[in-house]
Amino acid sequence: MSAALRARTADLGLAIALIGLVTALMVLSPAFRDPSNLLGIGRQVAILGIAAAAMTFVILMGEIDLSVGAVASAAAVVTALALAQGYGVWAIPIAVAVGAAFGLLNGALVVGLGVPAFIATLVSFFIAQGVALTLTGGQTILFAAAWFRDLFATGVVLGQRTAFWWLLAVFVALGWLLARTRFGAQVRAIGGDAQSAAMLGLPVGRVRLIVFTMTGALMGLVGMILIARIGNARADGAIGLEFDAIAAAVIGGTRLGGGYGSIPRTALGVVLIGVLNNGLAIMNVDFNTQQVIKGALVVGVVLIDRWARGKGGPA
Amino acid sequence: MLELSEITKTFPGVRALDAARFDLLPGEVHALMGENGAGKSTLMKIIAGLFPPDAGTIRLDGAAVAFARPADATAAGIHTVFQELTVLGNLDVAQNLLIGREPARLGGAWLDRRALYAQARAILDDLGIALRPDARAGALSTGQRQIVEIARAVAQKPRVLILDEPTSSLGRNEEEILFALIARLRAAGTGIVYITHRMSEVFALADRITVLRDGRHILTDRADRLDRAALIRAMVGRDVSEARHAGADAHDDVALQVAGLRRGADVRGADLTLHRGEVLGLAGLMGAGRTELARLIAGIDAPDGGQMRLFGQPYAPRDVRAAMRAGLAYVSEDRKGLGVVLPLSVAENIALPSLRRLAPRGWVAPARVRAFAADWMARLGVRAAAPGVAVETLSGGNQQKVALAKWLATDPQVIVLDEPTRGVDVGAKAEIYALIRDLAARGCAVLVISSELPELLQLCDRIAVMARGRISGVVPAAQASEERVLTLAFAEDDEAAA
Ligand SMILES: Nc1ncnc2c1ncn2[C@@H]1O[C@H](COP(=O)(O)OP(=O)(O)OP(=O)(O)O)[C@@H](O)[C@H]1O
Ligand SMILES: [Mg+2]
Repeated sequence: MSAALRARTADLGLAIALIGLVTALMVLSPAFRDPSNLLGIGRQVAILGIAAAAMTFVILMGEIDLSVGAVASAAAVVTALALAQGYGVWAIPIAVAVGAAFGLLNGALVVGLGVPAFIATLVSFFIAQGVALTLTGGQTILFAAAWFRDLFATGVVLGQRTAFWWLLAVFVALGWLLARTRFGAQVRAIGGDAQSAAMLGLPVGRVRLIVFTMTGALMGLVGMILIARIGNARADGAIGLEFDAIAAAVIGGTRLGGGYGSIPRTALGVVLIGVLNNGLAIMNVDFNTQQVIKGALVVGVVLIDRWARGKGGPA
Repeated sequence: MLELSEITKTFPGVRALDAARFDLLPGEVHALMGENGAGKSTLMKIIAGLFPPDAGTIRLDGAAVAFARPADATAAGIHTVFQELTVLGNLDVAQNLLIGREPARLGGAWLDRRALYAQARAILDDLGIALRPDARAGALSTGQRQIVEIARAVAQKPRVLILDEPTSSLGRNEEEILFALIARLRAAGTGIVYITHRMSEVFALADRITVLRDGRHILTDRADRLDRAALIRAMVGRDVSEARHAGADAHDDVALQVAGLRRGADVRGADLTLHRGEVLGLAGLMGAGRTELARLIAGIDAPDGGQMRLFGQPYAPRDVRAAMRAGLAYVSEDRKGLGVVLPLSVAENIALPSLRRLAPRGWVAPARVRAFAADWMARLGVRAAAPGVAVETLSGGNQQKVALAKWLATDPQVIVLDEPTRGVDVGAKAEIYALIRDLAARGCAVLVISSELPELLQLCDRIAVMARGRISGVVPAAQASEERVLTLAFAEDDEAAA
């Protein structure tokens, strides 16, 4: 089989896996095929989807961000407090600023001090957790701002929840940024070989800083959607999100180590995980088994991906 | 137009440049020569804005300039083809050619894909390069990547073009493309800095020659006022023998037998017999399938068909480890990808394939490893501050020596060397030839792939010529001439055309 054909088969494979999964769940579970459930999946994956899209940029660039869950949680807590204390619409820029500040910290550690991203974002993880725990004192923070909840999650526009529209907006914006802009081309080049990219005169440091900061800012948005959905905030609200985001990106073909990845394919990975989560939950599969199935899925996709790229081919 | 004076640059443990100077006139080809580690690439990287000099001044058109970043140098019209290829394997040819200046609307916010491929197509056609703009760069051969790299620099219409060993992995056709290009640029008034270790190129191309030794300026003179011997003496500081190898006795003991080996369109039924104690050269044009054949022998790729026998036993290595266990070592042409582990130290790199022998019980004794590595560094004349420094800080030619030492040290029974002296200076070449001859004299069977015919003629007992995936002839080196080999290299091309 030719290399190009194999690569296309791998692309198709993901779509086929998704169609197969959906069909199986439709047949097996009446609750799953209920139209309101199907539409609900779009809302459920909003948080994962935004995180996975940002993570695609980070991984494609040859880096990793382990802080996304903690940063989203911290932004959620700060925003809930701001809303509870009557800051009104100011809560929105505050959320984005908190997220962006952590992203900037990641970027500054990586670019300025040369700390490996794995360590730098682990540092941010701990700081963000510390901030969130200190602010909440272990309590759940309640707030009452119906407009806020409608704007970020519960409102309905054209038959879909606003959370879904935010997700769509992020996918479109990041998809365009990656595939259609010079900035996206630079991210891809840096992921291919950062040293060569620097020798070619690309602004490697600046691009890295922007990607980390952008990821942080998007985690501010994730934090807002998170609390808008449930109406309260906890210090551990989005912990664990980093792993689901990495998994979705990798299932979508983003290569750990950098250089390869696309937003539409990540979207496919997100939908696959979303459908799987939803289906397994509806069929009352217990949580631990769900995790094992997800893990198996990641391994399967990575194996298919390697096969598609062929043995011994240049990296 | 470009003038560098009193440039000094020190790295931890090495003074790479010591008050070096260099100047370039518009419309000239100025060759920069010197041994491995003399400081040539360092000087060029300073011009290209990769790092600043510790002391000294750079003047462009009379005005002092300081390039803080590579982008500053390119903005001033200075473009560089670096010794270490910077072509990105995850992008395609067009994206590589136009990287950083992709055609776009709205200030880079909307890339124009169609224009990207159209412009790339135009660049490739203009330079006479037969590559598809949408081919993934990672799938190209080293030589093809080098051509892409050159095309990228030339397409930016440079005022100053720096070529750091541009021909190190080019075949003859590609070389001709490059030389025609240089002639064209020179006529248009571009100043060209040309770094190479190939003497023939220097005298064919250069108007002036500057020699560096140990970071110091030795001489600058018109090329027609220098001869080969004088140039070598200036570079190395002594005379170097370039006599042909006398030719050893015939050997009957077959080490490696290759019969009808095939893989895709690259290797289409190759037959080869390699004897114990002989050095067999493998000549051919770029794209003849030499590296592809070597990769099959080394177990990196699996053949579609054909057989191999190693010392009479059927031999079908599953991977490089299996080939190593069978007693075969392979030094690849692409040292960045397969040859050395850049961030590891010189000592670790050299010891890596020999660890089984150095540490039979799994315990690695650092002192023993260091001594082992130091011995091999001395034998090949690797120039490094210490055995403990990372290979990536070495000059290109010295990295190549490390890649060689690494495999020579395994004491193999059969060794396949793909472009073993790529980027190695004349003095060190002679030492490497002596080492290879010595290895053969001790019974090792050596297969050497090289695009430099004089190298094969000087080093080998016999020369096999490959053309379009097959061996088109084998000649004893003593009776071989460049002409005879070239005729064979083109042989099947003509038959296929007829
Ligand atoms: N980044 C670095 N860190 C430490 N030492 C370095 C670095 N770059 C170069 N050197 C050292 O500077 C010296 C000059 O190296 P340079 O690459 O300029 O040599 P060169 O003349 O280009 O040799 P070659 O012909 O092998 O390419 C060498 O001793 C090398 O080890
Ligand atoms: Mg060099």
